[in-house]
Amino acid sequence: MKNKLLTKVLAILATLAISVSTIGCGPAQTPAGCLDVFVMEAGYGYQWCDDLMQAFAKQDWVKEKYPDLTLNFQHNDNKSYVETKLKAGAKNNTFDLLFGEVVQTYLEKYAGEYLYELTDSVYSKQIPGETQTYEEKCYDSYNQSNQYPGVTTADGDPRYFIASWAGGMNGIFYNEEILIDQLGFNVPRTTDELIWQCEQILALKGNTENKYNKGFSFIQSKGLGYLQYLFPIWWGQYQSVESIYDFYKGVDDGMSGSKNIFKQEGRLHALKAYEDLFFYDYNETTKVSNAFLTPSSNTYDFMTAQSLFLKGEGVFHVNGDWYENEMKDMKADIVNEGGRVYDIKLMRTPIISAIRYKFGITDVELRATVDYVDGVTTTKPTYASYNTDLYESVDEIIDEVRVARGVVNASGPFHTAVIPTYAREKDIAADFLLFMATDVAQSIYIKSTGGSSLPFEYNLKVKDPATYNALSPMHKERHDYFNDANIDIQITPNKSSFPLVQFGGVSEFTYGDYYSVFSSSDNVDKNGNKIRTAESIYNATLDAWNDKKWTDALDKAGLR
Amino acid sequence: MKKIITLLLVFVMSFTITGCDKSASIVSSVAQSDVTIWSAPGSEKIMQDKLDIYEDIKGPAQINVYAAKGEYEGQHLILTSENKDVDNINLTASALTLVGGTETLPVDNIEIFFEKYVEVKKNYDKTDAPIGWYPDALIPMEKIVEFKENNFKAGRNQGLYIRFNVPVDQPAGTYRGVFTLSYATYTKQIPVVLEVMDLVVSQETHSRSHFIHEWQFRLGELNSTEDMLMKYVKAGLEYRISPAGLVLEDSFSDEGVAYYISRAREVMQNPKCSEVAIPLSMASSGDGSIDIATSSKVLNAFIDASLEDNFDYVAKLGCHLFDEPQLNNGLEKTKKRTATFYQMLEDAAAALEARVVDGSKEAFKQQLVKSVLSVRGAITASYEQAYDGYIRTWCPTVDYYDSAANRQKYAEEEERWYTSQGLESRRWWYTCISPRAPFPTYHTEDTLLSARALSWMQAEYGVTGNLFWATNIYANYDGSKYVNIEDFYSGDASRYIQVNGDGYLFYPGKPYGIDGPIGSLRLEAIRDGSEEYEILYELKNNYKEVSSTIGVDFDGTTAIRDLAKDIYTGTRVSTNSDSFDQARSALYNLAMMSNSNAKVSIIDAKDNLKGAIEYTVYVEKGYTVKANGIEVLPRDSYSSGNVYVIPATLDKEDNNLVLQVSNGTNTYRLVRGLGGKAYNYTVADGNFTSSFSKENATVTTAVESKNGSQMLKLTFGKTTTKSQRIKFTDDVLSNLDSTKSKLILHIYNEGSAVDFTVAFDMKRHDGYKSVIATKLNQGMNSVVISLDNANFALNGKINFAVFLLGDTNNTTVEPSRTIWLESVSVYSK
Repeated sequence: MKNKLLTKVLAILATLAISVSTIGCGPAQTPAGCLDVFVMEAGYGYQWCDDLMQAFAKQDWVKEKYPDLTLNFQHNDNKSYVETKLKAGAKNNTFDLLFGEVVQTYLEKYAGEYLYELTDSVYSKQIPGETQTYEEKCYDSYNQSNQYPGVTTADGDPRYFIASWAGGMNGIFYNEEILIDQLGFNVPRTTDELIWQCEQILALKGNTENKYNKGFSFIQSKGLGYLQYLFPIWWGQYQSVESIYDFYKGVDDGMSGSKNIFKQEGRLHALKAYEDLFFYDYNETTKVSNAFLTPSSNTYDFMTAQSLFLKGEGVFHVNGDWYENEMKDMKADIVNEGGRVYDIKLMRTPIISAIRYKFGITDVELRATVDYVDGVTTTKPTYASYNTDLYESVDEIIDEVRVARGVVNASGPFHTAVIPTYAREKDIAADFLLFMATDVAQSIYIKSTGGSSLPFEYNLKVKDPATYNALSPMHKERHDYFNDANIDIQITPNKSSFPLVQFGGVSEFTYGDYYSVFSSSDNVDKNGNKIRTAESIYNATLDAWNDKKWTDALDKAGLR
Repeated sequence: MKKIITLLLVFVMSFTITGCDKSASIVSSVAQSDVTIWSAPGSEKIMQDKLDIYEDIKGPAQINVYAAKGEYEGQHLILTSENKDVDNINLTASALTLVGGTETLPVDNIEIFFEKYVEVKKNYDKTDAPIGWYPDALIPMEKIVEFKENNFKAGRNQGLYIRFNVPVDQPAGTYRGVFTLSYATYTKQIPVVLEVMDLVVSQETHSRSHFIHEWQFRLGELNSTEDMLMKYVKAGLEYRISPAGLVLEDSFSDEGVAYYISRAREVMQNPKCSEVAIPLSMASSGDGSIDIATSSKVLNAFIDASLEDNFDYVAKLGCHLFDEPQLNNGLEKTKKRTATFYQMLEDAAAALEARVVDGSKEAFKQQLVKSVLSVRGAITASYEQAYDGYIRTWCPTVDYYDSAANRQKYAEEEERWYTSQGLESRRWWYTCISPRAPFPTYHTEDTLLSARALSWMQAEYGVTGNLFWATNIYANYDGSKYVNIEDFYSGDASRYIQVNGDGYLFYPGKPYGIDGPIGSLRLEAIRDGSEEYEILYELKNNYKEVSSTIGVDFDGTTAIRDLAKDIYTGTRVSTNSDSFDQARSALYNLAMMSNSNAKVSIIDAKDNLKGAIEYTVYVEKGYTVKANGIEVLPRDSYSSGNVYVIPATLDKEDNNLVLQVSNGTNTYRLVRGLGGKAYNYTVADGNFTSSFSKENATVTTAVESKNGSQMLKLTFGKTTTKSQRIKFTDDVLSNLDSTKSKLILHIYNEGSAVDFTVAFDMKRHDGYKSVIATKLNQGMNSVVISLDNANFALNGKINFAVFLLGDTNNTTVEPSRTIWLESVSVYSK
């Protein structure tokens, strides 16, 4: 008994001695040549990373450069884990590479101190076996999104400390069978067309024509968080993605430090689209909703809402391209239990109809222009009239619609990776990021995530047709969209990387829940009148940003 | 068994300690030659971890300081060791003796401090100041020795700060002595020279301030008593900063009011105290109103005390009436707060007016009535139309005084509410996280000259009051709460979000066994500035006397502007120790000349903005005046003296004016550094003819004779945009850098006045950087662009400039317009 106890004590103390010395001052436990990686689990999962690491180790150039390479890989779903580990320093963090979320917010705090610079070690390096550099192959909008805002090289070139590890797309999913087969609609091309479809769907509530008869069009989950994805798209369509960058940088019409950013009308029009689509219309007495968004949304957790949508509740649902990956087990369960699941697709986000007022054309003409841009028709649109003060030719309008059609919101700018400055294997970690830009890695990532992709130019259909053919219709369409030669995909930025947002308190509107406010019962007074409108939220923001508040924000952001 | 476990635990502990302990004591193996000893001006911050950036300011290993009587002044002595740790440091002062006399400056008037360093991990001000370890806390040398911290590591600088406190009655002259520096096993004699100027700094503080001491000092002092607060208040007064409140928690009971008054009596009778806050009780309605009845108790108690002591305490009362309403949607509360506050003052003044006092006190009573109506409720806000009529004492951040138009606005507001009523002018401003350098700040990475320049600006712009929110937050604000910090003296300089040094100027004395606060280099700079304010204040008063004697309107503001151009433009600081010292030295000489029988006064200093400056100087009769050695004849003569006009041109790389005034017995000399060379590029010489191109407006150019000169006619095409813009691309712009101070555009406008903005496109700046927004009036305009606005260190070189005409805020139809460019001038620093 005594011996057993002594053995136990010895063992505990020996462990204690090692752990204390390691935490206190000892070197990392991982051997030299070991790439130690952490992945935060999100909708895209973590399998992709494991698969990529295994493939990385098998590359000839890797074997030659790192003959003793070993791999260590960990994951969890703790969103603050990356920051905690990053700040822990070499003594308490052995990870050489961390894949996390919204890492941009660390730029101002940690660039140079904890964040290893990737400009020379990754972005300007040639991708092994290929002719392009990492920066050249990465979508321009991702490069722009991942730059350290306001901090450049002496020559004014961008500097990078983070790299994106996802490059998908967020937007409006639709139930193809209901929308097209049952209702006979096409995929909406403009917001007015989408609103019209929602009105028709509402009018068909309770019908007995074997058509979708639930009345509501949209189904979402509690808090309506995913609805936010649409706002930057509509804003960017109306005003350009560049203007969104300008907004967050405090640049108006080329002039820096200008509070005229709050006069950007794309924000107002985008908000009006929300007001028209996601309004509150519920009769407490009759318990009848005449809203396009089912009021039950506010009771669903995200898996419930997503499952219901899969089962035919709702025609539209806002989500991200990880949706299928996230729902694959649920889908199998439903089928196994004899349930019915529908084919779900992700549409190109309808063009904001307000843009036509700039053009001076009708919505029907705008829809025809979208068809032309999408290649649905080869007939060039003609307009009864258009705004010749702003546009010298019809082609200029078509080009602007084409640019608008490429505006995409994605979670990629929020899913970013960093290498700690103190990491022991910075070179291997940087080479792994470089590997992630290879064609080989693209194919692996797409397979691992069930169709999602990294933010690099890569035509799956051409380069790996077998994988393409195995994808779901939803993912095929998305890949087609991203590789459409007529469309230049532009990702809307992650606003949290901008100092004016982080420290200056600048946001699209001073009212924070603008994307969900209209659908809330709190937005209706006792007389049934709306308390807040898009216009009032826009104007309140203009009023709130007085000179004092603005210069204070610029100073806090270090932009004056 | 227990023994075994104990032994094993000991083993574990020893293993851990052996592995981790890095604080082994310093073993002295240093050779004398391993340590470099040098001096640096007290206005510099010599970083601990930067050994190779101070070559330009390094002085010999001696102390050489000049100061006025009644002034504090200091200097650094720096020890640098590249390769060896250094221990056993000490510096011992001795009394200084007047050269050619027997008078001494006692050793009690000399203090030696060991500089402690805080870490700036990020330069939030985005200046070219490096990140690293900045000196701040000044620990008395004897305490550092007592606590055995008188050492430093290899690869570092260690600063000692030597401070002289010159008594008011110290005879002027040169004092010499020798201090003894010891380190490791060596000693070195340090020669000391103190020049005491024949000039007295007023011991009464005429600028006002409101520095809050009531914050988190207890966390450092481990003492939350009223007595400890009083120690901070008194220490602040010695730095010429006046307190906000005098108690930790206001009480409006009779006992509470009596207690406050007793504290106030003690503090306000100190001439260095210029203001104390009047406690205000808020109304229970929560609508922002003050509770007039309760708050009046305190005000009336001050009135009573004043009458009783025949001392106008009320004249030193003020308050921070509302904090930053514009950031917090505080308009409605501001309306209530101001209405009730002014109601309280008016009620109290009326009651006092009606009060019957002893006849001998009637005049004092009338003074008190004015003092009551003069009590300021400063609101930290910048002028905004919505608040017009409610806020009477605007307290904007310093940057709002950058433009002449804004300065004019605040002067008009002061006139509107106070000076037009015969009440004293008291304008206020403040600093905080915002603004950032180049505006004056107390931020750690900013220069000490920045803090010092603020006082000069106050003197020039008539801003009496300076508000600062916290002197002693001994905690770290993490965005939602204050958390304790482990090391008050050597930790992270940032204790608030996105800023270094904000929220604390003092350090707790407790850890060093001192019963009260420890000062900092930043407080030294604040006091140095306040002392210079006093000299400027007296200079202005002297000039006003001369002005009234000869009937020429001037008040010293022009003279201050001329001196201060080496320090700042608008409220943007741009100086270095050399330039600042030239300005300070010139000020002291001007002050002595003004105080002398010659009553030398600078009436005007006109710059034609093309490199020619003309000084107009008054001198009493009986003196000859020489400029750069050449006698100048008077232009105008008055019964008391003459007015001389002295021209100077900026045609050399370094331009100086030496003004000498002498009557054979006494000679006064002023050396003015006028700055570097001015360059003029004219259209007549063929410049700029192909420098303009379209931006959003078309532009046509033609050289024409206009207003007597060859000018470039610039015709902007009509636009329907926010302003109409053209590009100006020229080597004159791309060659500009931080060695240049001003870019001046000489433009003729034939039409009516039009808004004119100039912006730079710079290598590392997002968007165009607006550098001036002004109006082109009809006729000839010289548009002066301070190049401090460009921040070359951060933004890189200028690619091109953009000229904007018309409304930059709204899209409007901008008609075709024409302006003429005559020339461009560039001034060097």
